Amino acid sequence: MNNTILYGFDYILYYYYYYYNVFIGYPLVVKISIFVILVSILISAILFIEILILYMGKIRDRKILHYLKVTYRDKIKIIAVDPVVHSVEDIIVSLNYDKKKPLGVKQKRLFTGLLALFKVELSERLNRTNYHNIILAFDLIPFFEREIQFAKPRYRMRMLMWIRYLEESVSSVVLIPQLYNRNPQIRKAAQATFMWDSSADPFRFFDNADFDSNFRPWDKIDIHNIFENRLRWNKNIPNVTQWIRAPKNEIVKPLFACEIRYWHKKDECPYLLDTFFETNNMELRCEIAKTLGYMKYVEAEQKLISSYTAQPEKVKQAVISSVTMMQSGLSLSFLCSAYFDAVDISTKMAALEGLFDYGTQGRHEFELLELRADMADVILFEHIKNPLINQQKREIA
Amino acid sequence: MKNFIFDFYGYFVFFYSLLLILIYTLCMVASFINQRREKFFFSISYIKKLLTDSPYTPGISIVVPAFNEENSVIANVKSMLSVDYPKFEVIIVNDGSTDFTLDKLISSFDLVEVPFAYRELVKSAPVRRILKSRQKAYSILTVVDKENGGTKADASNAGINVAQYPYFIDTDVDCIIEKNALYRLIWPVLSNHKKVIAVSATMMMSQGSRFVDGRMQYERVPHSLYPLFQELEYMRSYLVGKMGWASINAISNVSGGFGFFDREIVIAVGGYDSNSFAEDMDLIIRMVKYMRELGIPYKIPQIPETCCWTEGPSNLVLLGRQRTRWARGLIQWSFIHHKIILNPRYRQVGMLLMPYMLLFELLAPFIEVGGFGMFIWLILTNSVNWTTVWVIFLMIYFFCLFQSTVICFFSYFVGSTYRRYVFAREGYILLVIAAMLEPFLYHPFITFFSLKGFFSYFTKRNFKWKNMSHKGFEGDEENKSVFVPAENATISVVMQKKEGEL
Repeated sequence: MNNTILYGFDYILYYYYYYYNVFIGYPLVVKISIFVILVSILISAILFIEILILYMGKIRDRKILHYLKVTYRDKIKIIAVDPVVHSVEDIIVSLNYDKKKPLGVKQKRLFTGLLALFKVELSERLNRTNYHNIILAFDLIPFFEREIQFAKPRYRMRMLMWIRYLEESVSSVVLIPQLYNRNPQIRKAAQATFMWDSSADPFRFFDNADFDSNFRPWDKIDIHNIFENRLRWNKNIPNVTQWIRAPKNEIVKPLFACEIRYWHKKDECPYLLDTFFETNNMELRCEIAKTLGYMKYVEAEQKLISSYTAQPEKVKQAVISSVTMMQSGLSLSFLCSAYFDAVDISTKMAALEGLFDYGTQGRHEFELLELRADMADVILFEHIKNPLINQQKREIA
Repeated sequence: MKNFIFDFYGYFVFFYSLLLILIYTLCMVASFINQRREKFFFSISYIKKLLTDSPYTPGISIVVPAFNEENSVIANVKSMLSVDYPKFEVIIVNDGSTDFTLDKLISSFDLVEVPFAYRELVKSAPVRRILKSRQKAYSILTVVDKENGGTKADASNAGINVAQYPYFIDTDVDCIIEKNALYRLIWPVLSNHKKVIAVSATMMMSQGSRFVDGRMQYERVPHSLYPLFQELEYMRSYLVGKMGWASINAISNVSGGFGFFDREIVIAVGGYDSNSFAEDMDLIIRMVKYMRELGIPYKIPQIPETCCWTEGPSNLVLLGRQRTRWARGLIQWSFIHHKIILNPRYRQVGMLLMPYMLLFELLAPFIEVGGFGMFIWLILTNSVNWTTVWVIFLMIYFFCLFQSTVICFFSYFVGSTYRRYVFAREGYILLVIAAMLEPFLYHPFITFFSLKGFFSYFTKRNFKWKNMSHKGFEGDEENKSVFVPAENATISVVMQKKEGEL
């Protein structure tokens, strides 16, 4: 008779039930402690394996990158800076790129990063056409589109950034589903890419009632960059007054007032002036005042001055700065009275700075006031006159 | 009755430890989710490109209090001036140094006194003069020469008054800032639609690493004992604790060694309290209270990447001074802000963070010592159940090791440079060894220093801020080979504060 009862998997089951029965016989404190010990050991082991996997992955990536650099870097750099235009076919031949054995997904991701790096390195000397043709030669546009549609969120997000970074474009069909992605980060990045590239009502998002609720300071920087790039690529930028005058999205309105100033759209000044008196958004009022001043819209000068006393301190300072920028020569008395009437020291300093920068007349008035200034105010005059302090101020401005 | 008390205390300590383990585990999970989100949606090259070109890039003031730092100040100021960011200024506050700190600054940077209209927006000791450089290359440098206020908080307040930009970083002269740190710090501010009032950044020990001209060349874990334990402690605190708490927006403290703040809010709450021993914790809680009371949504994020390297106490005496002061600060802070505890008005800070701080930071040393005393009594009376003791000890020990493995993983995951040397002495191996020894060689001292701090607070013993001698970039004998000093430094910080002044 065979005495062996357990075979193979039975051993595992036997010991499982054996330890299980021993375990349930322990007091609660010991049971919990053993559980914590086992979980700690198990997760620690998993994490060590995970570190090892990540480490191996890094080594693999490094090898791929090394291969890409050795095979293509020098040749690509030569082509990218060559003033002579190279066709896609020429590039394929000169890079010795076998289209039947294209780069894999991982290789293409790393290659895209490498191209972005070249763009920074060669920024001034870069031949845009050749650079674009290199991207076409490696079939990267379909790859970008595939990544945006099907990749994991992190790669999708990264690709949306890379497209703008590389100044390439993808089909709207690919972008549109991402405009309403559940992930707000991807949605924002897709919207930015769409605004940057599309011609089919690209700024429709500004009309959304909830644009404000998700508006981040970064979006200001992003939107400005989008406008800048569109102009660089001879695409129009919208007339932003429509959104300044719209009843919604109060947070984003000051940005548009700044953008008018930045792009020097003087035609929009009359609308801005009306908005200055209509809005209760103080930040918007400040930006409008500065914009009107920057664009030397002298028609607004007296209106701004007449409303001065009723404004909060920040708007007062913006009006002073606006009037100073206009340099009409008519506001000397206003700046003097702004100095005398100021209750806030920042407003007082703004008025003095205004006088100091207000041409010869202003400088003369500044000096006269300095002679009459009381002890407490002398330091303000000294502060404004000092070139070492103002040097930094000018840079900030 | 005696048995009942012992049993009750035994169970209390066990479930107390278990609750702590649960909280740490939750923090680890929350931290990992937080790190993944940060890592995947942050691209430094893209952010750099846009911020460099944009007119909307917010400016940052770096406020650096300095007291008797003549040996290191020049090299460190140069390092700060070379940080990569398009719009920033460096404000050095000479807090009435009695050595040649100011003279060295004047001669090295060609400084002259300027008639600066100084406005005391937050309270500080009188400012003697403000100096600017005549050289255009240093136009972003401002030096504030003030009378000694006795504390770093007072000097920081003077720097805040002079700062021109909407955000400021409060740091120390002996800190080395990572080249891209300002981009990393500003990103949470820019990418949140809620108002970010402060950002906590990860700091590491500078001992062991190699710096050339104030720039990190080679990051390595410290090879001397106490800095190594502190490195482990910092990593645990930043990568697990703060990252975890940040995920529910309940950070207790943005380090005074390297913290990023919204200047407007700091001024609104009155700046640093120079009477506080934990001025950074105190400031954050006051900022949180201010935002909650005004009903403005806010956020205080934590950055997992290392933004700054600082020199930690290199021996037990210095460590003792530092930790005693921290313990004093913690207890003072708990008394000042006791009204927040379990106050639903302050939501997660009042309902979760403050009770946690009270139970697991403040009371922990007492419970530990109580438990240890009871254990000795049980040994003496021969009534110990050794099996249970061993199992509980192993539970705590293995959990500590597990936690250290997690921080190694997190550190690798966020891209620490240690990962270049994963299996080398420079990398995580030393940290794991330190984690094994920490409960025996480090933790008992920390408990002792905490109790000492509490005791001195309650007995109102005259407390002085004593010399915190730093070795600077020179390092100790063992580390000498890896340091390339820009200027050999022996920093001596003498900060004295008499109890009577409080």
